Amino acid sequence: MGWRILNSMKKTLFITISISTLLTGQLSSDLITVRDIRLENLKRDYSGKTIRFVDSKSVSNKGILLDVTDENIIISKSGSPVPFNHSKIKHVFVDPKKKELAMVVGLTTLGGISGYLGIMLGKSDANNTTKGVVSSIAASLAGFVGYKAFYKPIKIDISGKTYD
Amino acid sequence: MKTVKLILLLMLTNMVVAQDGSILPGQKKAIMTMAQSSGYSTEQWNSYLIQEYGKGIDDLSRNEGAEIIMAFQSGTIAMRSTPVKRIGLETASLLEPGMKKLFHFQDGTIRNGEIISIEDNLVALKTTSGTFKIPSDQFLSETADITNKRGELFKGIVLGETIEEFIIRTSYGDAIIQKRDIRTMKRYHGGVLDKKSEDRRKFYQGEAQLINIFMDPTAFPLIGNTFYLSGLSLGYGLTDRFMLTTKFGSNFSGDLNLHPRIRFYHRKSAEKEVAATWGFGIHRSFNINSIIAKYSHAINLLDVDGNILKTLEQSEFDAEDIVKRNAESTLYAESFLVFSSRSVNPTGRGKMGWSAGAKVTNAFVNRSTWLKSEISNADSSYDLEWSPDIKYKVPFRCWLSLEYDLRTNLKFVGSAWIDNGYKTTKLSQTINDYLGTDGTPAFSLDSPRGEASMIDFDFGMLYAVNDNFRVGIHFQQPYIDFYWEFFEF
Repeated sequence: MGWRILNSMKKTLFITISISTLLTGQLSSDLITVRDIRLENLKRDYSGKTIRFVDSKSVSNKGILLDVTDENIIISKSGSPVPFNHSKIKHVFVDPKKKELAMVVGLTTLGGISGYLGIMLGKSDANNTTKGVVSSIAASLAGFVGYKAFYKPIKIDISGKTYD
Repeated sequence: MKTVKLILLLMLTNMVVAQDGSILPGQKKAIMTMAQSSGYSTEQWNSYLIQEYGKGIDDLSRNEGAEIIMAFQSGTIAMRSTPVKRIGLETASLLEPGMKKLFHFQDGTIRNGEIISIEDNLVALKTTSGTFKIPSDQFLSETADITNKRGELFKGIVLGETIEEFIIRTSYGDAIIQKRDIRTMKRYHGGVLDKKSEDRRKFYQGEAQLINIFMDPTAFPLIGNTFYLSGLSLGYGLTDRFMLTTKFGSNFSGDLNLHPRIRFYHRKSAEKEVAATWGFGIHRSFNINSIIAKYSHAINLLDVDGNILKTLEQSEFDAEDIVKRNAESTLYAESFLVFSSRSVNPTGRGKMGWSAGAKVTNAFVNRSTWLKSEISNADSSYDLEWSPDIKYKVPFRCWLSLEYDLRTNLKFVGSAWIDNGYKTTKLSQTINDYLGTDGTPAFSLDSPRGEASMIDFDFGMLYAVNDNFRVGIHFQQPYIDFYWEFFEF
């Protein structure tokens, strides 16, 4: 009788473990699917571009993205390809470059010119000091806004996370 | 004049109202006939409508009616072979600890929180109002139908949502859809279309994507293959970064003109979109009187000793009185540079953005050759000259515009500018100018009237009546904006 009860308990335990494994496996494969899609997108959109990420040892790495395989992100560092296991990498960053800096400079210049023209139209008798101060303030404000808008790294999520 | 205004007002009202009214009786009849031929009973068909549109047939709009008829004709609404799915509230098929979002429940309540644990089908949900233990079968499923800009349609369970993406479990696998690529989206909670929450609580971008704020351009041109028509101009997006417009009122007056716009910088993520654009415009035969009228405050009337007595704006003379007979029109060109940024509102409701730009024109080239050397009236005689003041050396305009999504179909827009040729006009003057009853070409804003106001601002609202038609109101000329955008034209 006791043997039968033990057998029945074993069966129940076995079924429970099987179902749990199945469910856990399903969940984990979901995350992998999402992650795979994101990695594919990373490879498609950013190959040949300079990326930056923090690896599993908390070291920041930067290089040109060469390839993304099932296990590794391969970047070119000092001309030679270096693989990094991407299982622990959650985000990849693309830093702003000269183009973005040019936008900030452009907007700063526009701000400075607008400030100068504004004081010229608004106060005809303004002296050079006033013109200089107003132009500088307008240029600084425009530069700050431009920096915030244009000079920001792009953050690419390559984790399997399905919510923020 | 009153009759013309009345007709114009009636036409505008009709146009706005006609855009998307209630479903027509003919449409209802056609839909019911097609539904019956496809095997739906009245009850089943009503259930289908509530499930898909969140309302019955009488509450559908004209556009939705047309959409259903087209769906029948194209076979998208198939013959009914199996019973329609019950309009019960489907329970969530996937819940996991760590899920953090807005959850909908069987009893109609909604809670924003994070799942801490799931034990014995009891889900511990932590919210700012406390931690609740809720049976898992009380959580409603969340599904979505999403069409992206490439025309792909995804249907499935919403597994998750990040700031940039939707993760959908479809019948054929999981799909990640970038929010920036979404064209249309229907979201269902418990199998029922959640129209209200979709429209009001959170939207990713307002329907109106502005290429201009009032009269000033933004750095976002028309998307490729989009046709644009406003009360002043028409245009076409040749690619996503290049568009052309022309002012048709001037064209009909012999002043053929083209205004290309090129976006030379663009970066976009779900959170933010930034761009820089330059453009220019060329008019082959621009009316010199319009230039004189626009800058009448920069033309001085002098006495015989060369003392400035007043400006043309302050005098009783009109532009045509001081322009030489042989000076009628000139080649006119303008060029502008504009930077724009749009980002997700931190509240999650739509987007907000700004544009900053500057424009210069060649309006002052050869300007001294246009003026008569002197003019006189019954009382006195005056010498004429352009003001030597440095602020009138080059015609310019700098602007800073703002846009803010109040609702998915309603935007607040505002703008401030410095412009050495801007004149503010009253509504009646603007209407006369637009209709051409003041002697200027119709369908253009080039009135010599108005009062110089070189530093000024304006604000108003823009309403997206439907996917194609927008109408706006603000407090400086032209006071009313309306335009159509036809995608994939």
